[in-house]
Amino acid sequence: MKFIATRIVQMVLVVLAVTLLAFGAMNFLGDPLFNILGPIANEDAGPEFAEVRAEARAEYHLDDPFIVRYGRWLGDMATGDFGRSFKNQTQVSTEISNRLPITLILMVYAQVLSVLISIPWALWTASRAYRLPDKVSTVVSFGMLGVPVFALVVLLFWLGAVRWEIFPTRYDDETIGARLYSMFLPALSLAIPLIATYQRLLRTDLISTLQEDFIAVARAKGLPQWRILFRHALRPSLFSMLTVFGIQTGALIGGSLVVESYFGIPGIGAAVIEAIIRDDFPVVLAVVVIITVIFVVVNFIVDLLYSFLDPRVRLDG
Amino acid sequence: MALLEVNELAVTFNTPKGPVYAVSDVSFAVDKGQALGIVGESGSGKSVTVKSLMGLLPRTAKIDGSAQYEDVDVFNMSKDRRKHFYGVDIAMVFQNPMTSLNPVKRIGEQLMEGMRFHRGLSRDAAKSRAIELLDLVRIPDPTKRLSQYPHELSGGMRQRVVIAMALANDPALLIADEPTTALDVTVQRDILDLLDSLRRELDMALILITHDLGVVRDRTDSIAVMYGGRVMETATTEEVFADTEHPYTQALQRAIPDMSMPRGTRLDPIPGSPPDLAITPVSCPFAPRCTFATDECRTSIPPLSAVPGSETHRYACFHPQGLVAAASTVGGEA
Ligand SMILES: Nc1ncnc2c1ncn2[C@@H]1O[C@H](COP(=O)(O)OP(=O)(O)OP(=O)(O)O)[C@@H](O)[C@H]1O
Ligand code: SF4
Ligand SMILES: [Mg+2]
Repeated sequence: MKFIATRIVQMVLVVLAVTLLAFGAMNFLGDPLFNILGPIANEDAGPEFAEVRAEARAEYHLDDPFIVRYGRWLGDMATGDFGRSFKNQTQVSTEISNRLPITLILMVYAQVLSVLISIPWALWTASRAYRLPDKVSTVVSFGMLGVPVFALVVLLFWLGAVRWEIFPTRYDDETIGARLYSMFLPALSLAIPLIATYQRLLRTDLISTLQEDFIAVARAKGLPQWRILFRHALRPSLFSMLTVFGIQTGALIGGSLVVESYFGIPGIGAAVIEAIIRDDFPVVLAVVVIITVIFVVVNFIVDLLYSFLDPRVRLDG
Repeated sequence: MALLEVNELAVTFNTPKGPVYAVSDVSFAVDKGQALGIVGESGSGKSVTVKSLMGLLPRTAKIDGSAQYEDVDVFNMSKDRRKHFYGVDIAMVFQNPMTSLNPVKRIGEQLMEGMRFHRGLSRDAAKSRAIELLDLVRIPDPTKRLSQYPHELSGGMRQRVVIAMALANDPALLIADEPTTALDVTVQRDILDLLDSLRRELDMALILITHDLGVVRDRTDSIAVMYGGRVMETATTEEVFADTEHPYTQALQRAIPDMSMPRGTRLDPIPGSPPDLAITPVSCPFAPRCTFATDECRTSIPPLSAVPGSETHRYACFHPQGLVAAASTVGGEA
């Protein structure tokens, strides 16, 4: 289990590095006091604001050395306290715990849809490689990759919610079912480029796996095609797809910003956009840290899955 | 009566550069419980021949001729018959045990899936049968092997597993395509002897494919020598060695590795290279390399002819060496 220990240390270092960079950027690129108070932060604004300035400096510990403030921020975060918003003085952690689960559901939803659709599609095309269904699929998947997310969002919204009226136009929070139903179009618009990406990668790997001797052996054993595809060819072919799955989790967070704001989903994306516009750094920092942690953890799980996919990948390497 | 009878089999590959005549006019038969050796150099069409029987050729292959297995027309099977044909009636062992097993599945799972699919055995029944099979192919500690992965076994052990897997449903015919070529010389003999004794124990027919005529000498009942996708000579094993007709068979005999040679010596005693199968054949394929070749050999294809007085011995040559020698002896006496 040396591998796992090493990876955990690496993960912690990555997260620390990102927090340091983010916290440093907030403090050195621009003036935090200005971000908190606006124009009155300026000494020239007049002596009547001196007291307000002093209060703000004290409350946010702006007179402490950088390293002390960084340490305090980290320590607070470890206990789940992300500080207070510069703008409306609410606890950032409350805001995040309300919004983060919604974004996570959207991301998981999109990944589940992508995997469920891309795997059978890739199996179907790889077993018909270079024939008509495969060629048509190639064109379709390149098309899916080419359309930008915002265009997909608009198109799916118009078709699914306006034109055919199959799905609601707004996010619906009533029940779990309603929530998933109203999130279908948003999740699908995130999933479409992923489906195409996974299908391309998996198809290629499947085609080469299907050339392997052990596939011929399985055929000679008289196993039916579907069984050979699912039980013999799929697992050894999942590596590239899995790697990209981990990386795409990062990209998905970016995509959900767009999708959430279009469909009015009260996820973390909407909060970030607002916070960035208003220079509300505690919120931005909290989100950056959370995104980093999610990304690092997902990729750690991906690494563990490699050894599940192939017993020759040993966890002590 | 023959268990498997192949008649005028021809396999042509459609390639972007035009047709490749990989196998032409191949006929042979295997009787129940008997062993047939198919011998020839690399590229002589041995694998394509058996792959056509196993339904393993790519879609670019066009198969002509017929193959009759008991009452089954192998190339025109019904879907129902086909469902439980391969792996049940005919099974196959491949050349490279290092790549023949799925690297991500346990040995036990791979052994059991065939019997579970074809015979609907329960997990427990399949498991005890798997242990039995590993025991049959002389793998020590069979129970432990079930939970191991292929990479935990040596090449020789893996080939034993592949053989056990092929035997899972008691096939009446086992095809072994160069089962030892990829193995260490020290274990080659063990595997060949194992196949030989399994065939006797299980009363199973065997098609043994090899480059080496020496391998089939003591382990088969009959032999088909292939070259350039064609059968050059076919006879009982005894006849092939006692009365060799074809110059190519003679060359193969001279190429049998000698026990006294240092280990690892590579034999390449037949000068020249195999024919280009992309050209429509018009001559004896062996003519460019044959010391007995005449104009006749270069302008027409020698048909398979019977050796007088033998029901089993056939050769494709205009100048059969055994018969020529016999004739000249007779001539000398006159
Ligand atoms: N899929 C294919 N497409 C085109 N040609 C092929 C294909 N498969 C085999 N061939 C050709 O058929 C010929 C016979 O090949 P085959 O594999 O049967 O030889 P072999 O006797 O088994 O040789 P080896 O001892 O090396 O295994 C070769 O010349 C090969 O190039
Ligand atoms: S037919 Fe002619 S070329 Fe061919 S093997 Fe016989 S003697 Fe040689
Ligand atoms: Mg071969």
